Amino acid sequence: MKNPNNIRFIFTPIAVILVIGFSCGKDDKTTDPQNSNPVITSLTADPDTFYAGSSSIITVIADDPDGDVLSYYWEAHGSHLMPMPSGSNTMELTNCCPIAQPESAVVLSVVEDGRGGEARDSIELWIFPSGSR
Amino acid sequence: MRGILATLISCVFFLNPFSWAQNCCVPAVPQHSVLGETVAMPHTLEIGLHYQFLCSGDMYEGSNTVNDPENTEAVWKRVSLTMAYGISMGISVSAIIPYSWKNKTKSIATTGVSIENSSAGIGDATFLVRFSPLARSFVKFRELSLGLGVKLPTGSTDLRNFGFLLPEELQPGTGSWDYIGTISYYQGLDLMDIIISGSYLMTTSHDNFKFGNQFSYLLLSNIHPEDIVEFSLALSGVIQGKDRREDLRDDFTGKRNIWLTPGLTIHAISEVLRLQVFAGYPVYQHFNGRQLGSEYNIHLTAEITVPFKN
Repeated sequence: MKNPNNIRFIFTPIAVILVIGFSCGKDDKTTDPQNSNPVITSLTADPDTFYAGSSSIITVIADDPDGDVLSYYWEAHGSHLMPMPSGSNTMELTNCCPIAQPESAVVLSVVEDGRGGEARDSIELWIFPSGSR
Repeated sequence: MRGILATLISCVFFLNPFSWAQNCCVPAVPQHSVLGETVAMPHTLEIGLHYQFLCSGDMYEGSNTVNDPENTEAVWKRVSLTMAYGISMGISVSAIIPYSWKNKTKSIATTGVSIENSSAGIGDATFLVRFSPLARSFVKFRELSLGLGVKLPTGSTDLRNFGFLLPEELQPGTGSWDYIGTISYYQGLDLMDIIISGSYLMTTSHDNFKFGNQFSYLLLSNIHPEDIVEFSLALSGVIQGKDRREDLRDDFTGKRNIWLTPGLTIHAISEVLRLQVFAGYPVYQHFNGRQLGSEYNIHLTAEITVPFKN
């Protein structure tokens, strides 16, 4: 062995970094028993059918009985969609990738009140190939 | 030596990723010179820092480019820290820890509005054991090696832009445990080396999504007219199966491509530090359906070798 300190020098920082970099833990989400879930009153898509290369704006209207500030999250299932900068309770979406035939996507809206309460609703979009216009 | 090591390690983990040169890659880009094609020398630690940049901008249908009114472009950049240690003659272990930046832009054809989505984060780490039943020696400059590895789901799969969960292709990680098998043959000659290798990546599902399995191959020739400088030429290719997702109907995935990659290696400090630059160009690309094709790939490498025994 040339110099045992070499090994310590190389592996110690790497080990520390790996532990820091890959450490994981449970989410700190806690539920307040006094808290009421937000309520989604409407979820709309305008338009609900669009051609590849254009877009649709999804709007969710939600209230919180406790008056909490709401956060909005979105997911798409059934087809890849690409998000565009939008307002807090709206999401403008376009097709992510080329498509060959009409596709539908289910857009899931998740509204959270930051105190463990949430509401979910979904809406279906249809996307048509741009050549079928 | 300690200064070089500390600098390399600091670069990977502590610098602001956007304050210095970046690099990248997608799963379909051949991973030669990142994964390593030979067994590390016994009791020797090889540490590499790789910067990869992949630019994709042409839309393909099958093997032909087609008009893309949405001007889709993608830039994948990646820095990888690699470590390989030779446990004994003919057996080595190695690790690859990537950090990637992915950026995809397209425009709304009807309005011309440009959309940009991006992500950054530690990707999936890969660990590999390589064994040589026909090991190199000072009198026999050839080696046959077999490798088995696993890619761990260390990268994030839940990154969002504007509150929207990004599609799988833009996430830094895949979320799945994937398995790698590789076989390589190295032959050293007077003025040149030849490496032939093939790797198979078997993917598994995560959250009902499975990236396609992937076979990649490499034919690499290094010419070393001088001790300090080497020139290389690689022909490499990838055959990637279709991705599968239960709730996805018509997904255009799966591809075949062949890359031609000239390269230059400089042995800055003999047997200690080598610097490499590769520039890859796809000479053939074939896609299932309509997909974004690659334009070029740049790969920069700094690799140091630390012997622990005389």
